[in-house]
Amino acid sequence: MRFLKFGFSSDMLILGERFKKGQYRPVITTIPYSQITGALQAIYGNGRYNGDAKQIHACGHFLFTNETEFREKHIKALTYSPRNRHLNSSILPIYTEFLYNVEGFVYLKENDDVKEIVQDASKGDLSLWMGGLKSKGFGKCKLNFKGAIDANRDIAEGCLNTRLPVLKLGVPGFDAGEEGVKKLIEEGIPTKLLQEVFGIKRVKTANFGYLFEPTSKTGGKYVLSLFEGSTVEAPKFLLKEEGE
Amino acid sequence: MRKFSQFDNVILNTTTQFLAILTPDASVTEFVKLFSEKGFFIEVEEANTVLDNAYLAPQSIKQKEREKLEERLERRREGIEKQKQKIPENVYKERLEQIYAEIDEFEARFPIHNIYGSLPCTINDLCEVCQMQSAESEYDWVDEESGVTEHLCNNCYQIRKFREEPPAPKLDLWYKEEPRSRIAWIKVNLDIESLAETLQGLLDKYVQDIIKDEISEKIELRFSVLAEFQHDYEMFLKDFNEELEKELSEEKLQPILDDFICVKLDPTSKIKDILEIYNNLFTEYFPELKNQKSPVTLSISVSNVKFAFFRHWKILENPVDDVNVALVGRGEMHLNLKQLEELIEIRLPSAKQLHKLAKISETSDRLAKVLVYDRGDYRLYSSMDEMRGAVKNGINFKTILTYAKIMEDVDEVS
Repeated sequence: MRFLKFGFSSDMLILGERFKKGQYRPVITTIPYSQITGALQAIYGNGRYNGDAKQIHACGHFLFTNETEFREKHIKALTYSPRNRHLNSSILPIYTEFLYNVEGFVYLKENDDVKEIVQDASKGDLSLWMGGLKSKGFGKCKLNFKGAIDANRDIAEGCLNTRLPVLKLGVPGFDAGEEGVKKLIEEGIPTKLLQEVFGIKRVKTANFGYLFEPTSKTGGKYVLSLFEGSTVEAPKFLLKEEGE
Repeated sequence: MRKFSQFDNVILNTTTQFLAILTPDASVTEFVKLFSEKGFFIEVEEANTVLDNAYLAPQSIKQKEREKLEERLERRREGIEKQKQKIPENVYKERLEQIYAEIDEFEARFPIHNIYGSLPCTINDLCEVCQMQSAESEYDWVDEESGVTEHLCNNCYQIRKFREEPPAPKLDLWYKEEPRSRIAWIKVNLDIESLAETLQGLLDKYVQDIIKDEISEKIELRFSVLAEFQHDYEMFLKDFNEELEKELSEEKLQPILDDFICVKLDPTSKIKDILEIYNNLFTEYFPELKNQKSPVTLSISVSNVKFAFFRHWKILENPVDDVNVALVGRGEMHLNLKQLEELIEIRLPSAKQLHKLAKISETSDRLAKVLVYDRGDYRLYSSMDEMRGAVKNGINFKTILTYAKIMEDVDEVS
C-alpha cells in the first residue's frame, strides 16, 4: 500500500466547521479527507459521483507541535458582511476565522486513477483551491511532490492527525453498511475503507463526527467519520508525532 | 448534572465531569444514558479493578497497578531469559507471548472510549449546533431579532426549549440596551485526574516532612478525601459567586452554573478585581495548591456582548495554565498562581501610559518592547520599572501587554 507525500502550503485558507448561529465560523486545525479529496476531484476527477467517480483518496495535516501556539500564530479572524444587492443593504455580518501562512503535508493513495496527478506533480508544484470564501481570494493551495511512502512498513498506535470517512457512498465494498459501522463502534474493528485505503488496523478510541460527501453537482450527504484525536493503530504518517 | 450528583455511586462531580464507582455487572453506557439520550457524548476513562485497589481516579489506579505488573513481569522475563538455553525455542516463545498477553489483558481493563447516543451512517442535513444528528425542518429555530434560521436536530431543539425563559436574561438585556458593552465569561474548572495526583503528592510530602519516623509504609488516599474536597470546592465556588456579586453588583452578574458566570465589565479593568477575589479565596481555601500546578483553574474570556459564544467556549474549555485571561482579538495571558499574585501587586504606570503601550502593541509587540525598555524616555522608563521586573521573574512580555490592555481604562474605576 503506497501513498504519495506532498508538501502543502497556503497563504489564506478557510477550512471551517458549520456556521454557529449563522454568524461565527471557527476553523479546524487539520486537513480533512473531504476537503483535499474534493479539491483534487475538482481538477483531476471525471465529474461523476458515487461509484462512478475516480478513486482519489487523500488526507493531510498541518505542521505544528503545539496547537495553542499554532492557533496564535496562524489563525486570524475576519468580519465580513455580505451585501444584499436587491435591498441595497448589508445583511448580518459574519465572523470567520481563517488560517494564514500554513504549511503541512498531504498524502494521496497511489492507484491508477491518480496517474494524471503524478504526471503534473513531476513537472512542478500543483495549484488547487480548497475551503470557504474562494470568491474572496481564500483557498489557494500548493502541493509539492516529496516522494512515496510504503504505508505497511511503519505501523504504530497513536493519535489520528486528520479526519477520515468510515465509508464511501456507492462504492461497492466501501459503503460499510450498518454491520460494518456497528463493528467499528462496538469492537473498534475498522471498516473496509479505513483498512484497505488507509491501512488502519484497529480503532481503540473513536472520536466521531461527520464529513460531507457530494453525491451530485448540487447535493450530498454527511457520512460518519473518524476525527482527529482518535486513538488508532495505523501507518505512522496518519498519526500525531510525539509531543504534538 | 445536579440530579446525577445525588446518585450514591457518584463520588465527585463538577458541572462537566464526574467520578463514579459501578459494580462489575453494571453498564457504563446505561449509567450515562441520562446524558447520551439527550444528544451529549461522554468521554469515559474506565478502571476495572477490585475494591481494595480502587484508588481516587482511573489513571492513578492504572499507574499504580502498572508499577506492580511491570515489576512482576520483569522478574518473569529474567527467569525465562535465564532458562533460554535449557528449553526448546517454541516453549521460550510461548512463555514470552504469555507475558505480552498479560500486558494486553491489563490494558483492556483500562479502556478510554466515548459513548454516543446514536450515530447514523449518513445524514442528509446536519444539525448546525451539535453537528452529530440530522436537522429536521420542524425543529428550525428562528432568531426573532436577526431573522437567522438555525437548522437543528430534535435534541438541540429540546435543549433550547427546555427553559421557557431565556437561561441568561441579563445577557439579553445588556445586548438590547447597550450593544457596545463588554462582558466576561468566567469559568472555574476542576480536573479530577490531576486532583487525585496532586492530593497524593501533598500527602506523600506531608508524610515525608512531618511524620516520617512514625510510619513505615506508604499511606494511600481514599474516596473520603475527594468527598471532603468536593465540599471545600463547593464552598469556594459559593464564596466566589458571592464576592463577585458584592464587587460588581447584582445587575452586572449573570450566574449560569455554580462554576460558570457571565459579568458585564464596566470598565474592563474590573478584571483585576475578579482576579484579586479569586486569588484571595484560593489562598484561603487551597493554600497548598498555590505552590504547584493546580487542578483548579480559572478562565476568563472577554469581548463585546455581541460576540459569538462558541469562540469563548473554545477558550474556556481548554485552560492552558492556572489562570487564563483572553481578550478576544487583543491578546491572552496564562499564569500560574504565584505569577498572578505578583502581577496583581505590580505598581502600574499611569492609565495614559498603559493606553499608549496597549495601542502600540496592537501594531507591533516589538515596538511595544522598545517603549518599555528604551532608556531614552526617562519618565516612562522609570514608571515601567516594576513591569520590567515582572518579566525578569518569569512572566512573559505578552502577558504584560495583555495586562496593560486590561488596565488601560483603570482611571475610570477610581
